[in-house]
Amino acid sequence: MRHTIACVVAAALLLAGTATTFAQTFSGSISGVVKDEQGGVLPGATVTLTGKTGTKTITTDANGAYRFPGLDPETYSVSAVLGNSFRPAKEDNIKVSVGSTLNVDLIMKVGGISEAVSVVASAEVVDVKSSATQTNISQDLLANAPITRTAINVFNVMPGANSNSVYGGESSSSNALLIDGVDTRDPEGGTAWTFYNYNIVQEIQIQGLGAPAEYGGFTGAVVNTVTKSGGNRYSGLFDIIGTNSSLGSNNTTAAITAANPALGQPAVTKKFVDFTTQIGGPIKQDKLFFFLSAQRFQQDSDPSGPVTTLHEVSPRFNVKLTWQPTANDNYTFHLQYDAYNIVGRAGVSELLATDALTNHEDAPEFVWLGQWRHIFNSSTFAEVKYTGWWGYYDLNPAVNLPGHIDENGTPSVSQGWFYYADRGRDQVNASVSHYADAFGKHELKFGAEFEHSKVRNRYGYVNNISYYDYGGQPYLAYSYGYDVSATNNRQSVFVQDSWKVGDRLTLNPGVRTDFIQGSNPTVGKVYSTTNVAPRLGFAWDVTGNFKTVLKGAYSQYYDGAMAVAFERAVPGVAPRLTYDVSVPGQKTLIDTFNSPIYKMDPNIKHPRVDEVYGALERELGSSMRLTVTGIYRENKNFINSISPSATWLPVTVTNGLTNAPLTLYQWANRAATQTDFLVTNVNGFAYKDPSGNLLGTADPFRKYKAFMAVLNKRLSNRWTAQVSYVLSEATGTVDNTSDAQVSSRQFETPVLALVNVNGNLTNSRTHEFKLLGTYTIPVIDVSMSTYWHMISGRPYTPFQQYTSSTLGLSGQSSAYRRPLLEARGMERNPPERIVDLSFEKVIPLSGRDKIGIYAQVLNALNASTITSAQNRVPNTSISGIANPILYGAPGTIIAPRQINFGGRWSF
Amino acid sequence: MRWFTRCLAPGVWAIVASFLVVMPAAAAGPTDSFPSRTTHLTTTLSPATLSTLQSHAASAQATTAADAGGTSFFKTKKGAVVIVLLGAGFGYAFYSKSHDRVLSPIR
Repeated sequence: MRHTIACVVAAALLLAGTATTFAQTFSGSISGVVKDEQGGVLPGATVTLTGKTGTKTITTDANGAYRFPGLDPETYSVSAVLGNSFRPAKEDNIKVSVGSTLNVDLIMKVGGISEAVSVVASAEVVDVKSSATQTNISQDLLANAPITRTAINVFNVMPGANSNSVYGGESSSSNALLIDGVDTRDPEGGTAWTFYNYNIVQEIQIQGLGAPAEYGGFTGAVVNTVTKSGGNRYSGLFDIIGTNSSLGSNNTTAAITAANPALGQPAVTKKFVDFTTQIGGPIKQDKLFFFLSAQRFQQDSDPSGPVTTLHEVSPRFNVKLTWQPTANDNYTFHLQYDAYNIVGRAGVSELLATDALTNHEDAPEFVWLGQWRHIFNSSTFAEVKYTGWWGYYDLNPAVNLPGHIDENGTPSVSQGWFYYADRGRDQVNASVSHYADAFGKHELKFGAEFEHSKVRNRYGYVNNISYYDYGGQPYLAYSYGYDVSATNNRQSVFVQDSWKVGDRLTLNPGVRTDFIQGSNPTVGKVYSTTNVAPRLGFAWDVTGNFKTVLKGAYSQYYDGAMAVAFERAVPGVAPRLTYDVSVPGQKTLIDTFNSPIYKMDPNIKHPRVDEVYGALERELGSSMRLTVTGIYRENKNFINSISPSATWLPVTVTNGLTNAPLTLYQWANRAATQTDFLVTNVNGFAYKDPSGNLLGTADPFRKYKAFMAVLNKRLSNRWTAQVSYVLSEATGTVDNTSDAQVSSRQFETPVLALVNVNGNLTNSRTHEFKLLGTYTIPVIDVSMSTYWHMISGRPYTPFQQYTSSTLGLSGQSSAYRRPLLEARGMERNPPERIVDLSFEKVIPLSGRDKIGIYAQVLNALNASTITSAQNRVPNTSISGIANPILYGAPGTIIAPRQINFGGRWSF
Repeated sequence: MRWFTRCLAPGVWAIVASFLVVMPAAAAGPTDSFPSRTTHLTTTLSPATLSTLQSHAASAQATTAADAGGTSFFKTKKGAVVIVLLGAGFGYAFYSKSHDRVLSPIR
């Protein structure tokens, strides 16, 4: 047996050793004072902490104080004993959340040791010590509420977060996604890469406003996910949820179908089955624990639009070991593998994609973690982590033939291209937390992080050719492709303090410095920035009774290390060749566009957002909290690319929307300047005509203003809820969709940089109302949960595609020829009013065993909310649809009502 | 990376698979008491105090004898059901990993 255990441990160590480490907070702490009934402190009392992995004991100091630092998020009890003249005191049900510092004072009464005084702990409703706001989503909420259960969009339940855009930030790419400390984002653009099983989640913490200095690499929000682990008792979960097409509905309307026949058939879930089997328990009591989980997710659907078959499968495995060789040392090793596969992924716009225009996605990955936490004493502990992940995702066309696109922009035959993306990240984080008393009380934290991440992108046309058809026949053909590699390196250090100046005031100063370098194996280092991000927050207990707190912060947050910032400055892109193929059997080269290697501005600055916010929190009753918040955020240091020597001739065209004249710009000296590009902070760049006259100046900006009111009611009297209203505005000249910065190439042409560019951003929701609540119905004991959100629709802007000859852009991407026809975001999709429900009947068995039977009713009102409009003027064509789809017609609508049934056994 | 795929990945899988077998077998036997750790952070308790704390801790954990750890868990009816469900779940997920994959031709 001992040999077997040793082998298992050795194997786990070996696995962890193949990876690296890391530093954000994934633990909490409990501290307090032991007192007698008269309030006198009791030194020398023995305080015992009991959790699922055993007990820890400590003796109170001369001030009667104790502290248990570095605790995993779970439920604990704390007991205190002192000689034979005091009755033991005890508090149960103390729920430690990620990053929480709980104060649990124990009152000891005079009496015999045989009688314990036990109370159930009740957490403070208002946190008077932190200037940050955070949202914690427990496993219970994740399992019961009808909300999206993946980390990449679970934060959308937060007030101020919609469509993966948080506080006006870029959707997806501005958010940091951490799983047990593993940064799971794509090191190229920062979007989500690694998914995971929601059933392995212990808790999700979302940090948004006033985040301390230990958090970096984001300009939206940080999503901290802590996964389950084993304990002294066996615990398990067997969960299955599924549905089929007979449990779906139809939410199309005659008006929608008439405007866009492609939406005549609603999205249909043909088959959905998602099961999890997992178990955790002891290998050696109090010392060594395991956790195992397997999941298989399958969804077969017929999405809204021309595509008829979308098949997704993802088997996923988790293995976790926790080792406590001593009371003060904790080692964690975690390995995840999953193989995500899709058949029928749209290879062009969903509005236009047919089955032939889809691809097959193959995306396996490993995620690993090795962590050591050491408690030096009750005042100091350290964490060291080595984390990382490796994976790729390949998109191969469903029809392995060259693609065609006609004069109306309609693709056909095949998507015509392949894309192979290889990724990997290794990270080491280390931190030391220290509690100190000097001019008040301090919770100090120092840390360092080291990241090395890799990106390789390969793209090309099938048979190295793609056709442009005119009059139904191939007219032009193109050849293009790339194989680009890039590496990010980052070194970060931070220091932060939670300084309790007096009884009422807490200051949260901190500073974080990121050193970011980008390089390529051929050309070496091309990108280097040093980013200093100060944070300063405060929390003031206004009334001194823990019921009202005024808090606020000024913070700077820098984006993470992303290869997209510099990868256009590294080699690997083939020339774009244009052929005349109008004569059958002949192929004549007519244009060569040598894809340039961009120059990098040596003084470039890394993108960031500056944030100022203030909030007032007030306890209402014993279980409710009202928070009103004001937020202002402004992005700085936008990175994009320009052509410094290009000149432009104003040309007048007709605005297809208004029939009024519209001034655009023709590239006047393309032949001489088509390889002269610079990646820089584009603010202030002057666009000029051939005579040197100023045509306009680049003014990239993005601002977010919001007022937020949130009412939280924690569970009591059978119900819990969060109700929120947000009034906000996100405006600017750089959109806040995913990867809206450098990859957009928006500032390479004044057509996209100057024309109608200022206005409402795509993720600007003027009004947002959300209700997330659960009520347990008496007598039948069925819990009912709802997630109801009413949100202003997303703005959109009409565009028109002008000819290459008009703008002097032959061979260039058509995106350069698509100016906005009116000010950005002048139009808006209809409001989204969506109600999701879930019901669960729990049948208790013996002990902790219970069986739950549950149902989810998604889009319970069967709303047919339009989520995007066809915004090309005057129209666009869809292969297989006879008439063109006019500007303003619905492009996509939400899925119809769908009922899912599930069951789970947990113990 | 090919080396990783060809050599390391199968090895990792062998280790992962071995966990499924060895973990229940390697599970700890029941312990007689909650241990008190004797480090500089902890303190030594009197027998009476320890007894009191043990009862508190035991009630907080609210575990059944079979759940409290030990190989006996897997010898109960419940343990047998758990093993069957785990086997079915892991087995099907492993099967799916091999058979549902849309393997990219370049890999």
